[in-house]
Amino acid sequence: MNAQFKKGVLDMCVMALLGFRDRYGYELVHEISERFEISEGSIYPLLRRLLTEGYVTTYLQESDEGPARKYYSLTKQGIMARDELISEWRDFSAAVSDLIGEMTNAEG
Amino acid sequence: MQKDEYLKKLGQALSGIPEPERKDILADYVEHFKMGVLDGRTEEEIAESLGDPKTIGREYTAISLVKRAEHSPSAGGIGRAILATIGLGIFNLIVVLIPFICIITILAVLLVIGFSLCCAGPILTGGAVLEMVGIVSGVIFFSAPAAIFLGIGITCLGLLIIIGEFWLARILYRIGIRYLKWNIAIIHGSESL
Repeated sequence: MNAQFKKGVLDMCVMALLGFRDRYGYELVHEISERFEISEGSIYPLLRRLLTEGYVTTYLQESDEGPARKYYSLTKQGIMARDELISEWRDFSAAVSDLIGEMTNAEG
Repeated sequence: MQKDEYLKKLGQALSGIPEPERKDILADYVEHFKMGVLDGRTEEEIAESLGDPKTIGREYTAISLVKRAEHSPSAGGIGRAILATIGLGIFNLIVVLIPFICIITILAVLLVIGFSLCCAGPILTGGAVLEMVGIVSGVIFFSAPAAIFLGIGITCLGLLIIIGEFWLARILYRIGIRYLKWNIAIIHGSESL
């Protein structure tokens, strides 16, 4: 996928995934890279930014297999930021879809 | 690259970050490697898909310095944050460095103007007073009482400019922090994808 498309929407994707339930870093990387290609290393600095903004908090939890996992959890502030981003994204992507639809119809 | 080598390089690239934060960041990558190995991947594959540790380290450093500049404002702090953000890519040399040079120039010029007026005002008033009491003559070419008030006016204008400058600097500081954050999130985020 065009790298330009991914600009800025990755924050929203991570927050959307965290809104559903708390997740650990590797899980987030996995969930996203199943849908579109990302550089795995870019997720952790992104999570750090969300942490410094107060949008997420973290806690460690032991697991039956493998190492203790650091879980990321969306805060109230994070939920507000996520909702704002998603509503902006919906308006924007609907407008783009309309435009493309109208133009391809006009062509055909 | 093996896990240990990757973590060592990342650790070195994070040298500008306070120790507790640095440890916390490295722990994320240790966990990532462990989870990846459990997933049946080799350390080389994991290191490869994580990307260059130096680039990642620079991004963390910029995030950390901007956060510190935001929470404890200082000229040195914002300077380091700006330099770290510029270090994220050639593109930032233009979109970060140039606007900040312009802002600093404007603030410096305003400060010089304000300071000059604060010096010129009292000199004019003082000269006019001396002229009126007859200690000197021919210094003021127009009415001495008017020159006294003009001097006071100029001084006040200079003080206003200096006070206004502090307000302006505070507003620009806040905008600057937001711009750096936005820059790190958008401009650089795209390069590492």
